[in-house]
Amino acid sequence: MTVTAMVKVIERNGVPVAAPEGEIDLANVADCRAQLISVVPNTAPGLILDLSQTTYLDSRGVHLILELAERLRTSQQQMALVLPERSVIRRVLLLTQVDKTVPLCRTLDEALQQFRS
Amino acid sequence: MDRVLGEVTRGRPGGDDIALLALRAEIPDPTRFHVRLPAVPSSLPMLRHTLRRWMEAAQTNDEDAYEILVACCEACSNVIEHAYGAADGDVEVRGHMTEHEVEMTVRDWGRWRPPRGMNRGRGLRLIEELMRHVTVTPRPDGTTVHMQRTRRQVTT
Repeated sequence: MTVTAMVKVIERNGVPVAAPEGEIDLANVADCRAQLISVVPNTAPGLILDLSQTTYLDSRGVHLILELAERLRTSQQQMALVLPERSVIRRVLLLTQVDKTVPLCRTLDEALQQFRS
Repeated sequence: MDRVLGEVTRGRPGGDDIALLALRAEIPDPTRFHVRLPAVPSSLPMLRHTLRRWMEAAQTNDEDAYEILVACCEACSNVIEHAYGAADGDVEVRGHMTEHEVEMTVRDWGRWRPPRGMNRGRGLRLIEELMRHVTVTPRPDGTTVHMQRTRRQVTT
């Protein structure tokens, strides 16, 4: 049983929106990371990471999100997360205080607002 | 087995190879959980699958189930990363669910090396947040992580 996180990418208002589908753990976090860094061109204002199709995420995923946020900050780009209100992974993101570093939005539209400043 | 193959091929010799897979549908004992897996990253999806099935059988509420799942997988990820170095080894997960409490134990037969880097403690901190009572007991023959907490209201 191998699970690879499929990262689906779309673009909204010039912002890449990456949505990992399935589970992110120690087994596939490196693969997921490689997919995510490749979707943000230097010309993009940043990245929206849509976690609405992500069914499992632990501290390895948290570390990945924080690392991406840090890299984007260095290159003066922004990052926002999309996480539906009832998502099971919300508690892990709150306990690890990811929301203090990256804005946690309930919808994609809300996340896009972050890029209109 | 010949009869099954006969049914599948209907007596005609097929051009393709045939794989016969035997599965045993075990009904998990809702109070007990036990697996022993190789301490490698690819064991984690399998562990989550079996843990989810067990917790479903034990009628664990969704929030509890997710938190127990994360806590156990964090503990196993630590074993995979820190217990054996490049050597082979196993990780064992045991669970005991009562009406009000859940108790999980993750053990290995290796020796944990000290955490490296600033982010290494994050997994253990998360386990402590999720499970309330957590003890890590290193012994010469391996390390045991014991986790215990009360259950939320059971969903029916």
